[in-house]
Amino acid sequence: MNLLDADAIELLGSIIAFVFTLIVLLYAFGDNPLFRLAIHIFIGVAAGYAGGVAWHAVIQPHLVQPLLNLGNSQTSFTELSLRLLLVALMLTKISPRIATLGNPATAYLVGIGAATAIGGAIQGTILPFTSGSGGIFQVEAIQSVLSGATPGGIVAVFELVLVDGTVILIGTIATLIYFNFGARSLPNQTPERNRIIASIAWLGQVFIAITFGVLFAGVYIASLNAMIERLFFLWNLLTTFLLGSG
Amino acid sequence: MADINCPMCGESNPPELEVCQHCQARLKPLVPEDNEFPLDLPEEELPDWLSSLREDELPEIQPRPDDETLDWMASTDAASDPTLNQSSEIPEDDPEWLSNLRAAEPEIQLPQKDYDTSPPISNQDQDDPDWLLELRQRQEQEGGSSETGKPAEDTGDFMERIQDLQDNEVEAAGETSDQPEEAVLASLDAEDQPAEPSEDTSRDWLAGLSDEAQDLFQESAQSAEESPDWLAELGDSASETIQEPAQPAEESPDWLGDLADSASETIQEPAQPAEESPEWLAELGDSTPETIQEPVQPGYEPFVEIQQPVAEDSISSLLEETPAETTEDTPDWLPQAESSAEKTVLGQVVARQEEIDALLEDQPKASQGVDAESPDLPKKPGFVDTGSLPSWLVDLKRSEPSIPSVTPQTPALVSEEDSSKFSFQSDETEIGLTPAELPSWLSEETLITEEADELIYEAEESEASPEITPEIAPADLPTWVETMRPDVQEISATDEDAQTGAQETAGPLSGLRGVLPAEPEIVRFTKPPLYSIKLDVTENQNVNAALFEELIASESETLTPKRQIEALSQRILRLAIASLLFLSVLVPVLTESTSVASPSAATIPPETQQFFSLVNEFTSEISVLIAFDYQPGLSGEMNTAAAAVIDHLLLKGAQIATISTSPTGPALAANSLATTQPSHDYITQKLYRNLGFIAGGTSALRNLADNPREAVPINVLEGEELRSVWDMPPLQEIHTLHDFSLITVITDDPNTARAWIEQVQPTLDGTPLTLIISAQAEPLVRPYFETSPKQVEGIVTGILGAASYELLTGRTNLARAQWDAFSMGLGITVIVILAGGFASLATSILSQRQPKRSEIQK
Repeated sequence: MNLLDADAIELLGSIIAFVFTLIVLLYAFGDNPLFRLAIHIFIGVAAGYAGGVAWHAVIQPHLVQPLLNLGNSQTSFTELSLRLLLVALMLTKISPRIATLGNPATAYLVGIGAATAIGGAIQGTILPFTSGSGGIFQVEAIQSVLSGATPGGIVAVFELVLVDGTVILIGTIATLIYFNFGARSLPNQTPERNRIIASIAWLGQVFIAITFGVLFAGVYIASLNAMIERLFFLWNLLTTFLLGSG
Repeated sequence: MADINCPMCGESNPPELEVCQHCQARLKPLVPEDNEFPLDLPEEELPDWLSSLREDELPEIQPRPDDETLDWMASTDAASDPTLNQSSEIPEDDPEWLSNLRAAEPEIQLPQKDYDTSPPISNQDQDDPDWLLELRQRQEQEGGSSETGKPAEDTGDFMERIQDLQDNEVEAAGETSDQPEEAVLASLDAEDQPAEPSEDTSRDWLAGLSDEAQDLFQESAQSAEESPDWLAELGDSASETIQEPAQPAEESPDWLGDLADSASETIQEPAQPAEESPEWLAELGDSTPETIQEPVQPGYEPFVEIQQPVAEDSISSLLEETPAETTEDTPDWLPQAESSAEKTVLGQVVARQEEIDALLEDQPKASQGVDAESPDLPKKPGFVDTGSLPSWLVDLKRSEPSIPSVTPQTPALVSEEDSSKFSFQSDETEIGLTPAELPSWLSEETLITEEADELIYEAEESEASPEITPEIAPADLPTWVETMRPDVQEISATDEDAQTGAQETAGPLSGLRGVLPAEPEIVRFTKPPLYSIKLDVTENQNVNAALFEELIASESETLTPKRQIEALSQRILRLAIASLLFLSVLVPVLTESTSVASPSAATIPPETQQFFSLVNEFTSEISVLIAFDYQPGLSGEMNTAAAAVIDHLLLKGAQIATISTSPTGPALAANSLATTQPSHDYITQKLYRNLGFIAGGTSALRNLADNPREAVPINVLEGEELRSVWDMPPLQEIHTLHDFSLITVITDDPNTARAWIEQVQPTLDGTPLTLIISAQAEPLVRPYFETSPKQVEGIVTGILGAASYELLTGRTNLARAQWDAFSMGLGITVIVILAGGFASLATSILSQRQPKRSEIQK
């Protein structure tokens, strides 16, 4: 079998993956040098791969190619000069003495990134969620149920109104009130929350706990899926080599 | 060269040292050259304490060279003491005080040397006065006396030497005397001898007065450790000195014998032959025979008339009359010391006379004579009928009680020669010192002595002529006696100080109490006081200390064994749970089981349902942009979740372009498509376009949304020509993202999903955005599906979503193959969680009940 053959490379990669999978799984019995070795290899390979990708997907197409094809590139000279200037300023971060020269490039990147994130958050999250909160009670669905277009009767209306809408409304309000830590201070007494606020905050705490529980369950499921996939990989590889089936 | 004893600690030190090498006390006091203290005074003129010091230090102190000493002193020094002959070896740098002390030392020894040594006299004949030479020559003629060759240092007790001398005299007299009863009477009259105005006796008791005080101090200093009460010691020593002169009758000197004879003859005149008595006494006896021979009347008490005036009256008069007459020039210590000695001495007078009576009774001849002739006569030796005595003697006894008061302590039983010796002693004193050298009080005392001599001379004249009986009025008492009279109040105060004060243990004042310290207290080196280091702790403090100690001990104790037990149990529990979960997953994988039912249609999530409906609605070739934005670690889940969707898309004839905002995304995209879609030639032929990685995060997405061609300027080699990917199918018609039919983002990170939703979705302009996400990102991404209008058209979440999607498509893929393992593992996980929850609840309930039981039991 030719080592340069795709199948041979794939088989070698599968063997390496098999070994490293076992080494990582040994971490279940505690930290060990093999696990550390595997981690170091993964980080090194990922960094090298990222560097290659950065060159291949960023530097070469966005800087080298335009410079090489300065006349034929779609990129103008001004734009290219501005890119070069920002790159040069960013490279000054290598030396501590001239690192301040790279601040404009950093400011440019951070500013653009923050502006983009804020704009995207407002446009993609806050405004849609604010406008969508008015439909939590699903008025149209309720009207449809009441008109008889949608089956379910009063039970469906009760479910849509009381369960979904009310739970969402109460959960949202209770969670927001939980983060209100204002309290009235009395003489010779410890500051205490208003009893109503305290009770609603307790309810919001329940919703937050459920949310974190769901997130943990999702993490656990993701990890369980990863383990299952690895076990299948190992088993398939073993069966391929030992039984010759594939 | 002899060592110097430290005056403080008594240790010997080399003479060249100025400070003691043991106690650092100064050996050579800082005495000025012109010493104010007449250290070279004769013994009689020196303080007693200094005299005793000189006697003690005699063997050690070397005299001053001859050129610095007085001539007559030098002569005696050289001859008397062999140790003093070594004075030539004295270095010239000898201290002044030591020279003075050496110079004064022979003077102290003079009275002793006069009796003991005669050879030195020949060496200094030309310097000595004539009377001294005569005295010495006479002493040599007497020669052969045992004291002659006796070293001076061996005769420490002056009274003993006097006693020896008296013994010799009495022995010599006893050999020639055939009348021992006369000696007894002489001793009898020796008690009354001071009343007789004799020059010799007056000087004798005067010298004896100071000598007794000196001896008292010496003895008290020597016996200080044995008897802390120095006053008692002083009294004892005084009594001893008193006892010494109380010699038997045969030891009394001739002059006293004569006086006794005169008295006894007055008593025993009928039995005594007249020729044995002196003439003056015979005349006296002739004049008073009747008064003595008269029968004693019944109420007559002779002791009342005679003895009391002699003893008790003299004591009381001394104690009552003298205090106011103390001269100012007299040092305080001298009258105190001597008065204290006199007080004790006088207190013994009565007892002394009683002892003398006992002696008289023991004398056969005397007692026979007295008892035979006058059995009714009083046996007291002092009993003398006043009628038988000359008037001057009676008057003298009654008018001079102070003189007889000191009589018992004087070694008065001396011969005329001895008395001349004593007179020499006194004269020598006068010779050795000029009046200018004497202190005022001593000069006054000298004058007083002269006055006393005059009185004695008058008494002798009166004795020679009984008709002349000059009476001495009480006011005519010698002032020197008055000056030496002790002050009772002062004595008592002194006694208190002496009894309560600290006792000197070294130096010249050794044995004395209440004296001024030789050095200030600050320079005394004493052991520091020892303070107890034992804490006085109460019981409560002990309890608190014990509690505090237990608290500290509990803090220092290690709970390692308990922790090991807990860690071991927890580790076992963890291993058990891990093993259970592992087995629950491994068994389905190994068995490739598909026994667990797939999700039913009713349980298919709506987002998955809508995703399926959306894809399923595509009827023509569509271009789909799939973003592989997940980490390699979750590739298993994401590949499984995306496999059914991509398969469905490929079935629908979609042309796929992949892109990623993660550097590892392009590789993952290639791997995922290759591994999950091996059945599709589109994938195996690599007809899809991998746009690679776009850097910049949210900004890159925004740029991608606005101008995808500029955001991803990738050229691919197609044949031999390098072409832009945007010029190749399926991207030829794509200028913006909304030109894609469907945009699907495969991500495990909700932030990445939100970035795509926030930056790209608003620019899609009707192009649906769907998400294939991990189960951990669903809670945060699902709201974008719940919004109205929906920002995300469909979501496939993990294996559950993929299984549902497969259920919808009817094609089994990775999700179904892993469904059993996933279901088993998830089921066991739920069981373990529930079991753990119940165990924790039970533990908490039990832990709450146990304190209640313990409280109830308490």
